[in-house]
Amino acid sequence: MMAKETVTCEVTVTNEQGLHLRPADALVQLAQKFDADIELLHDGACFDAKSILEVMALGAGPGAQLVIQARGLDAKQAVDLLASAFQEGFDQVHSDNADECGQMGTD
Amino acid sequence: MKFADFVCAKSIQAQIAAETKEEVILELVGALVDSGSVKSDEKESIVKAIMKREELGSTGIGRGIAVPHTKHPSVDQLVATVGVSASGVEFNSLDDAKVQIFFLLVSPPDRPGDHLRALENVARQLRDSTFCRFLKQATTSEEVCQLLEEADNGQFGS
Repeated sequence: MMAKETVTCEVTVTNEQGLHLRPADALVQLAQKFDADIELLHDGACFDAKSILEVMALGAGPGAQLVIQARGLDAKQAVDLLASAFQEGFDQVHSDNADECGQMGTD
Repeated sequence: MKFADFVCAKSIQAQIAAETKEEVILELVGALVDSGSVKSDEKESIVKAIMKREELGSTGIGRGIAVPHTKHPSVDQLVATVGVSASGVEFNSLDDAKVQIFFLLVSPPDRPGDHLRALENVARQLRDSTFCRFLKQATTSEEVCQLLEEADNGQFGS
């Protein structure tokens, strides 16, 4: 029987406005691509990375330090992809400023 | 942050009549206007901004819950209202389910931290399926108010 591998990686929230709804949604969608169980550890609490409510409940502000912990056959791939998404800020160019009021003209 | 810190009790709508996304947003922003939380001449602009935000991706996060929101310079603090629809409203939610519980938030553009804390609170409380179920069953604003108060006092989940 093949042992399930647990992989962890420390990450920092780089989004200027923290893990608000859109980056949280992007994170969940990435996590759901994997079979591995993926959790985010923050301040001693543990949140399911595949649940949008859980990731929102994390309330991670800019600069917050989290640990991604994945367990399963594709755990390594999951952690690598999520860690780089954290680093890139979940496509924040497209997200963080787009709903600023007064930008009605953006398409 | 607690519900009492940002939900305007007077604006709570326990019996949403609206049947579409735009109507429900209009109804809830209208309730914020009626309760004096936002200025009436800003109503159209706020509704437009919330709809614009919805175009970037629905705030219907599944399990019958939506958190429509926008930043808007006409408010100097975060204001929010709660709406409950017995029959549910099509909201292009992540799980395609109709939405019965709405937390609509309008926040000042320079206070992203407050917005994040409010979302965090809404999500933490709604993770509790009992709280969620009771909210969906509420038929008066007093009942919704009482549930929010009980949640603030830690009577549900985390």
